[in-house]
Amino acid sequence: MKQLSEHDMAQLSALLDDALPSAEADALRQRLQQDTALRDALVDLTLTRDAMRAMPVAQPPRSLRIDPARLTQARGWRWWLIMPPAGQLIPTMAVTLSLCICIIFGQQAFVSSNNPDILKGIADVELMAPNAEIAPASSDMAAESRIAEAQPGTDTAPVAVAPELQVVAPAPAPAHTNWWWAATSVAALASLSSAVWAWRVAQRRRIVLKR
Amino acid sequence: MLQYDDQEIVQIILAGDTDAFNVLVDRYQARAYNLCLRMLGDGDAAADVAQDAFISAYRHLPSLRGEFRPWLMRIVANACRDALRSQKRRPTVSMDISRDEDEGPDLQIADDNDGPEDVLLHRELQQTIVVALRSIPDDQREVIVLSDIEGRSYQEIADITGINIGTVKSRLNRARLRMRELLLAAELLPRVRRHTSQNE
Repeated sequence: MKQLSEHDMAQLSALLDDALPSAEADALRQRLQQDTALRDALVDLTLTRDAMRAMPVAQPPRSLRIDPARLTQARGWRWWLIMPPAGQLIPTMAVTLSLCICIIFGQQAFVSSNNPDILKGIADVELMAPNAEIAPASSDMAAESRIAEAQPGTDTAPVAVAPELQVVAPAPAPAHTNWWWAATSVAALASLSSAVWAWRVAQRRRIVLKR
Repeated sequence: MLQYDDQEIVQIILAGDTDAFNVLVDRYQARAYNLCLRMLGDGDAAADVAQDAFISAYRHLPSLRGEFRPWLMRIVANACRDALRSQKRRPTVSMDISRDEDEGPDLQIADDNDGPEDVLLHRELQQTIVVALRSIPDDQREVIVLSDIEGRSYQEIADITGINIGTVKSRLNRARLRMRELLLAAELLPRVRRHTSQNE
């Protein structure tokens, strides 16, 4: 069988639907008189379409009637929360907000952890704290006393000598880390809530929408 | 109520008589169901999707501008597309024994005067069409169902599907070619051709 081009088939399909411009339709009809393959293709397309047109109209297995009163009643006072647009916007906004919180606070935590000035500030805070556990090593004590003897009148406070050696206890979590954890927890909670919300909305709609 | 046209019934519903919506459901449920059935290929799923479409139409009735029927069919077509997407995300295999009722009722296009061979041929042809429809892409199936089964014009199809007429034509052409190939492969078209020429 001769293979017809896609253009020919498109023209035949359009001819079948009377959707071909008259000039093109006339030209195609002339070709149809001479070209057997083209004619067979048109017959096939016509038979296919006619067979489809003859498909019986199926009746639904049950009545598709709805109960408008029940639909209205089932809405309740929170109906606007589950129906579009709020029903779609609220979970989306919750997730977006969560991501924003994570990104903003996560970025802050990252910047802080890479900033040595912040660590210096933390050390200063520790040294100024009255109950901080400051326990210089014995060799350092001896060194300090020697320095004190050599430089009378100098402040012998451990802070002035070698602050980097003074802090021996692990530093408590910096404030920005606590913020980051709080933000992450809130974001995770918001994401979880929105997922539960979306699931409940889907369930509720399924229940409400069916008769 | 039956004597009112669609627009009048819509006005009655919007005026407060919500039960009047079921007049529209009765009027269009067969069309909506058939479109869903041809698109989804499953009778129960088609009924569910068609009913969901009616509920959606009821809820959004105040936003209706223009004629009710094309607007409703657009909602039905969208519901079918959503259902197909959902099916693809969560493919399920039915554990029930396959029943022919999912294919719709028995296919009867032959006249009462046709002999057993004609009835058999028509039945075979239409069963092959049902199977072939399932094997073509969703976007092409939607267009060929609306055009060749529902008998819609290009413009109506474009309105329902939200695509332009050029795309309607090309999708329809590809769908018809595919259907023709499948029917030729099943050796049905030559038989129908012979049968038609004999009858003539």
